Amino acid sequence: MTRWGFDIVSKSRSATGTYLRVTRFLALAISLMVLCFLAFGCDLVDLPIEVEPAPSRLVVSSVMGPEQSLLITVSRSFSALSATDVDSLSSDFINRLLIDNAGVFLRYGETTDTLAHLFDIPGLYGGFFSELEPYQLLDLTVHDSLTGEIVTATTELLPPVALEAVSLSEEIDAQGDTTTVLVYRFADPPGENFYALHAYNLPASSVLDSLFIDDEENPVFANDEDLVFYETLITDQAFTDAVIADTVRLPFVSVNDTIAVSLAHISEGYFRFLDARRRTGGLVSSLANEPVNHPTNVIGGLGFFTAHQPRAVVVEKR
Amino acid sequence: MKMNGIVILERLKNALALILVLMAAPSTVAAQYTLSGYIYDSLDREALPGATVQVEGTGRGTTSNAYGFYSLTVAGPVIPLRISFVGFAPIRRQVDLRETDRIDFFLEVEVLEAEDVVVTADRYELQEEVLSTRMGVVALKPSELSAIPTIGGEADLIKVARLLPGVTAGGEGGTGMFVRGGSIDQNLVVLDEAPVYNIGHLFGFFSVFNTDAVKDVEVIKGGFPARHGGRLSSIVDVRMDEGSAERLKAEGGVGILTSRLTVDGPLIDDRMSFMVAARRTYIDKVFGLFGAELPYYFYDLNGKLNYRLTKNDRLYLSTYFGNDVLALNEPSVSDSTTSDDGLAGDLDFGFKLGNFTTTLRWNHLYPGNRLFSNVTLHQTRFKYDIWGRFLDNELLIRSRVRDVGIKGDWEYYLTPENTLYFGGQAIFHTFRPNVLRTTGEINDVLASRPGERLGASEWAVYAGQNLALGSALRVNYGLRLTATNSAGAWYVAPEPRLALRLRLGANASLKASYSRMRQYLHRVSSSSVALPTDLWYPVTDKVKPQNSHQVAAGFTRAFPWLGASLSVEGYYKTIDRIIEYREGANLLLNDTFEEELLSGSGRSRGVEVLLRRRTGRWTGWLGYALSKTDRHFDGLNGGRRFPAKYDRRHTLSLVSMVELTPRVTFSAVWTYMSGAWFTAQNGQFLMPNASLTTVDLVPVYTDRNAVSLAPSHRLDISFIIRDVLGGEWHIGAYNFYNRASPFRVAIDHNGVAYQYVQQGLFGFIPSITYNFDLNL
Repeated sequence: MTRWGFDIVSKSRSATGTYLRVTRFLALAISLMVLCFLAFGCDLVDLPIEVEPAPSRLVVSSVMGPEQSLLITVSRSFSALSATDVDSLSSDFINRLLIDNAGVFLRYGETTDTLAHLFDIPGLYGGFFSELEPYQLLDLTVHDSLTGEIVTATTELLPPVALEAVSLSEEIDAQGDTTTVLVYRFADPPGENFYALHAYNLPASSVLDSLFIDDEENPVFANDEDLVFYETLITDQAFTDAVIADTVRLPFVSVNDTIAVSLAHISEGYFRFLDARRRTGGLVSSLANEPVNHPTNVIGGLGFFTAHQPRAVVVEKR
Repeated sequence: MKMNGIVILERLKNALALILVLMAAPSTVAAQYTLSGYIYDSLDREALPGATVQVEGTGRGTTSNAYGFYSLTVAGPVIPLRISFVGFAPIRRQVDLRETDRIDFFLEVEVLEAEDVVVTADRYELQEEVLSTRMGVVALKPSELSAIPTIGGEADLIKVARLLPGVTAGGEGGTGMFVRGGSIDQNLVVLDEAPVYNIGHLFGFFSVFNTDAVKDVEVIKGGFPARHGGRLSSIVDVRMDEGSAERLKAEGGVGILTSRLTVDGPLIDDRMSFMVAARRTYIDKVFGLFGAELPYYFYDLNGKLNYRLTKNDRLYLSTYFGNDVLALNEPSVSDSTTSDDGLAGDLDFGFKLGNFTTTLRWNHLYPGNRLFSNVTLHQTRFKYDIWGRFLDNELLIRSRVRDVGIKGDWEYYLTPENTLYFGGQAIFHTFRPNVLRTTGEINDVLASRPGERLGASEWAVYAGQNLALGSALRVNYGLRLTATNSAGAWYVAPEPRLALRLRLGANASLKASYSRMRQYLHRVSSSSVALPTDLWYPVTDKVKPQNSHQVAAGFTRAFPWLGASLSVEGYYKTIDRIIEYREGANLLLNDTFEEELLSGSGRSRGVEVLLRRRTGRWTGWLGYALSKTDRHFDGLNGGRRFPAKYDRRHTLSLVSMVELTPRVTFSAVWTYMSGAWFTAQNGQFLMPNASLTTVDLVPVYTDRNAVSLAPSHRLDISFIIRDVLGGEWHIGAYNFYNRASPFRVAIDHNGVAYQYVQQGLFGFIPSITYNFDLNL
């Protein structure tokens, strides 16, 4: 290393004066440089990133209602990029996404039925299929007559599983704080099973009303987002018995509240889909977690075709 | 492969013995005389590693090892020697080996003009680069590190290392390194043999290495000799300055961000020398002057003692201690996280993290002057505490890593054409991640936990031989046997190494190498960028050791009349059992993180060109790399291959240092990097949620890392002006033409749609630093 030195011992007096001058000069120089650092630094022009928008694809979702009614919604995916024409989820925009000229066909066994376009609601199709048997395979075909696109999906009609016992109790932790606990139990059918459990605040409008509420200003999100305060996904892999019994903590609920609890026996595929939703749902997750492309069973499209039948019970206040 | 521990150790021992017997067999040479000793810098009597000792007119010779030791066995008895090292005047001496077998040489800095110190071209050094079997290795000297402009004028060896072809950076500012397609945790950075887990201050913006305290740095990217192991992609070997044995002196610097002071000198004449270095930022104090509060600072302390026990024995004791501190108030929690002391005290928010390393080394020269050993005891501790308080809630997150290790390396200089080397290593790791202590209502969400204490040990034995087969061909081969014991299971693997050199005339050679590497630790990050708060874990039943195979071939050419060398290397590397996070994985305070990890494979291939001039008034290098790196995981991207995040197709660096006058040097660095890759949300759809109470907006992403970011380029400049007092003014500018070097992808989200832009962190930033060097 190149070294430049001087003998401070032989020049101690002059060196002391030099040190003082150097020190003063350095103090001034450093102050100026810090000011320059703060004044000039970090003023940069951002660099654009070219991202191709995802192609628009058919989206299928489904709901099994009472008496084995099946509701199918058919819509389109859309770009997530600001460069496109998407700037708000207006009613007009959503209506453009919903497909009301689709042919929706359900095949089960040797039978193929066409689902009807319901209630003049764009994108909503449905029918009653009381003859369906548990574990029967359902093949769905959706044909967009405008674009000619065809998507297909297959699912299994899983039998409903009802909660056998549900209650609220109190748990006192080590610090003396009290937390409300939901205690539940249900019978687990043979085989590998997956469940989704939801807890709802009551009173609330009916679920379907809230879903399809006609609000011109904000038609989709008009319903009370606080309606559901708890959601969990359950797999029977963690339970060895034929009965699943567990508790969940509900920190924002009092034992004096009345709540509804629903249990849905779902397919593994839909379980993975909901798990992906759960993983990306919160603010922390969206910031810290890796991106998740949601699994789908819709060949050629997006969404999920499922035929689960939730069963709900009301837990009255104490 | 799981095996019984005792069986494994026995096998390792037997294998090593067999290897040594086989290697020693061909060493039947008619050599009769052995000369050995150390090569020193005459000014400070500090050892010079890599100096050349040549028998003039024969082409035979050797180089000093990392401790400045050389051993040369020749037919003798009277030989003309030439001892040389870049930047020093060569020594020529006729040596009669019947009279002595031990000579220490003291090289003087070469002075060409009255006040002008110029490093001259030395064709022997260049030839050594050509003749060596080593490839993918670059050595850096402190003089280069301090002359290269960096942000804030703060010399940074990690950032300089990233100017080498094959070493790429992550985002702007960070000290993360990606070597030949490897991950950030596949680089082993050692300071005097002690592993350093966190190499960056201020979340990676500054290196933890104070270059005043650094003697030299070696970056190994491929062609790993058997003595090196532990990580898949690179070894960064940093050695601390030993302290002058001749004069007491102080050197240091005052910059806009930090100040540094290093004092070194003799403690006992001809026996012991010391070095103490300290560095601290004072941005907190400067803000304080303006009434603003920025309670952040970092500091480093380096210390080293160098003691000559006997003619043949030396001891080195070195230590490093450094911390980053953001402290509105420090925690008063007791160190026992299982106690009931609670988090009493006036807490607000802060963190404290840092490394502490200690190394004790013993060099020994055995009778006969051919066998040299270095035995090292080392310890490393890395820890961080993060604390915070909000209303009545208090939180402390704590993590600890501690290593204690022993390492022995032996070098047996049979002849200049035949060197054996062998040794072994054991490291005992203790990890205690995710210690969490909470009080208040936050305890409902984040319950206190003591953190699981994990232990693992790593073992290795190795042997190798560096052998000339005729005048043109040289081979360096070896075997490293490694094992780890983690969670009660043993994992064992052989790591063969091979390097070949075929000489093409006096100044050119072809080289080829193969290395198998194995890694028994992995780093788990709670984000997609490396942070000091990332956690290290040993291998487990579910997360197996990572392996890599690397083959490389290259051409090296020296241009003695220019004082320059050119190397062109191509490589192909595969990595298996590399880990990646499951989509949507949450690793924050997650003790069951293994469930969130996926095991996959990666591959990288590329060509690297390095044209380097280390001597003369104009020094520097041109480095270019063309590379492609991808990953494959069954559970990601639909099982399709995808580019690694920092797969940068082209990287180019131009590093130039020009001595304009005897008192003024100008240096400039221009870098270009192809963009990294990322996964963007480019679509979405509406779908009723599972509770049927609302409709979700479900994102649709591109394929993993399918979007290329914009390339980045930047020019940094610096003038070094030497004043009459002997000090140096470093006046420079970072990002001279003020172009954003991507630091992160920013997302502008209006509730429905996204717009992505890359943001730079630092624009044009001027800097000034004053460095001094005083004889006391």
